[in-house]
Amino acid sequence: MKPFLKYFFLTLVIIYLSACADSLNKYSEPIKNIIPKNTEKNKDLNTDLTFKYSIDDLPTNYNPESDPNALVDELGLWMQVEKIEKSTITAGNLVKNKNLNNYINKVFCKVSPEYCNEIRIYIINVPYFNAAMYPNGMMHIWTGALLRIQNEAQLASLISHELAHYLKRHSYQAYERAISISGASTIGGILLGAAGLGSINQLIQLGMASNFYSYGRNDEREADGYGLVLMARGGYKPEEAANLWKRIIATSKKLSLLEVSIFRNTHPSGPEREKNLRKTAKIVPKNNSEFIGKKEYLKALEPIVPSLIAKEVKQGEFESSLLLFDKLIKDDFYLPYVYFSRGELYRTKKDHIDFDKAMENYKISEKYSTIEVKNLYKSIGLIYIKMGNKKNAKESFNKYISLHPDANDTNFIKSFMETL
Amino acid sequence: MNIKIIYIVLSVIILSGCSSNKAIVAIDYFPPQTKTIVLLESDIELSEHTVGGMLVPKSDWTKLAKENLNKAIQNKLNSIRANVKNISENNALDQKGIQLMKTMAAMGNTVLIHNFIANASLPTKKDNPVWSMGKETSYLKQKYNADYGLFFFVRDQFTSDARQATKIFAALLGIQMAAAIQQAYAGIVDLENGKLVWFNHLLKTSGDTRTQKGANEMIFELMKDMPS
Repeated sequence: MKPFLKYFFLTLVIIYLSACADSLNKYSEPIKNIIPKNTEKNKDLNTDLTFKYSIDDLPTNYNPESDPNALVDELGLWMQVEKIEKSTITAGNLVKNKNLNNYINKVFCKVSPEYCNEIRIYIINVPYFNAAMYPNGMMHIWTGALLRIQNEAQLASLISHELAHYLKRHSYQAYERAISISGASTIGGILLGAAGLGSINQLIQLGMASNFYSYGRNDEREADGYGLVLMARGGYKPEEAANLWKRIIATSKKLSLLEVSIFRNTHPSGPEREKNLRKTAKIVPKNNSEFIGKKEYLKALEPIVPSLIAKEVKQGEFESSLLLFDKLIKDDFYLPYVYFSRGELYRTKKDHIDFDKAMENYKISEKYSTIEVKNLYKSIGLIYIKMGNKKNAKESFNKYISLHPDANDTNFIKSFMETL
Repeated sequence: MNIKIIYIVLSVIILSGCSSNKAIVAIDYFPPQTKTIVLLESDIELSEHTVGGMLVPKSDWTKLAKENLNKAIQNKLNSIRANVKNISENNALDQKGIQLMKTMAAMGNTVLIHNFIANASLPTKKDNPVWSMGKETSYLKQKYNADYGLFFFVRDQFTSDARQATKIFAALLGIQMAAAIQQAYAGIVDLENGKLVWFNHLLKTSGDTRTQKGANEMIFELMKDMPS
């Protein structure tokens, strides 16, 4: 390279860096912090030594929209989230059952009387374990979580975990980090690309992403800690938070190595969380914290159980659905539905089809109730057809039609039977 | 090396000046003077394009652009002597109304994709580009007592200072970074039967709806082929 060009480039780099200085300064805090400290990791393993989460750390009248210190980016984030909320209110998969919604709101108010009227909880019919807190005070709970939760205390633990994210402004901080880290990795990438180190650039991007997610892990730990504080204050037995994680681990299929590595980046591992929660539950400040509320929870869930289970079957993860149904049977959870649905898994899931096992489950469901599960005799009829037993198939279809004469597929089944 | 720099500078100049604007879906006769038209709630969002390529929405810019665009639209409609109805605060949309607006946005996006993006045209819409969102729109007709509904979708991005500097630096090294764009579409729906009677879009790498002048320019370009 000619000396002239060298200086030309050097000058450019200086001009460029000084032009960016402002933006780098603005985000200097998170960028400095993206290098994870080893000591922090060790601290996490020793949570039982001192309890570092106190209810006094949480604001009692936090209202993001009236925050005079709100930054420009934060206002923009709310603009987006308000749109999401508007769309959520009219979403087709919103669970509108009044009693269930009232019940969940009641549990929330027990956990946090301060924010009883501020937080809006929406139940979304998606068959995966998830809940999400938005920075404007909107909370989503997916029905996959409701099907895995066993009692009111576990529901309270999920709600208080999400509320802790909100009160600690985690989603806004994650958003700021995403902006600054994506910027840092772009600048780094260009500089390295210029130096002919393009492949290293990819490694850096990966490193940046993993730093971003390591924050996610810390946020989760913090939310777990404050979550326990909130639920125990509300009178719920804090050990149930650990039991919820035990349940999630028991009803999840084993992840592939790749899935594990991606998931581990954003969340502490399930067993780690269960262990930490169990340890911390012993030392969290209690307030008569003994309530579990299994009966109350199951009663509130009852009206939507058929639709929850049907969605779980449709979801297509044979292994985890089977694990879940096995656990639900152990818990005596709405047995006619669960046995029927386990039969449906064996009847419909590719690579796992087993007519004998399906029939076995349908028959148990029938023993509990012949009318509770609407599609029971239809499914039994379909299995008989696959087995080549037309006589029994017709008999089952006739039972279905006589039990549900107004069903919208009776005419279809009648004409189908004529072809048998 | 010199040739490379010249090439880059040229391509930057060419790109920054480029804009694509094809008028579209000419449709039914639309007589604004005798019929009433309601200006529906627009979907407007302004954002900053950061160094890392993230789009950071800005609520203050958006508010400003909404005011500017609204003024520009009103002026345009007045100039063709259209009989305009405005949605007032106490006539805000209920759930059903919001759902209809969602459907309208879905239709707008679909038209945008299948009518304007090369190789994405639908076989059934090639010779007969008629789009409709169904008769449910009569609900809006009753609610606003209007014959037609006019809707807007506007996205206006601005390169942050840091990104601008990075872009120049990257361009000198032969790396091209995506430009901030301005994108908008507008459509008119016959509220009687849900049919889309007119639609247009624009995509540019220039313009600024934060100023009244920029908003006027956008609306002028977007609505110049509107039947009147």
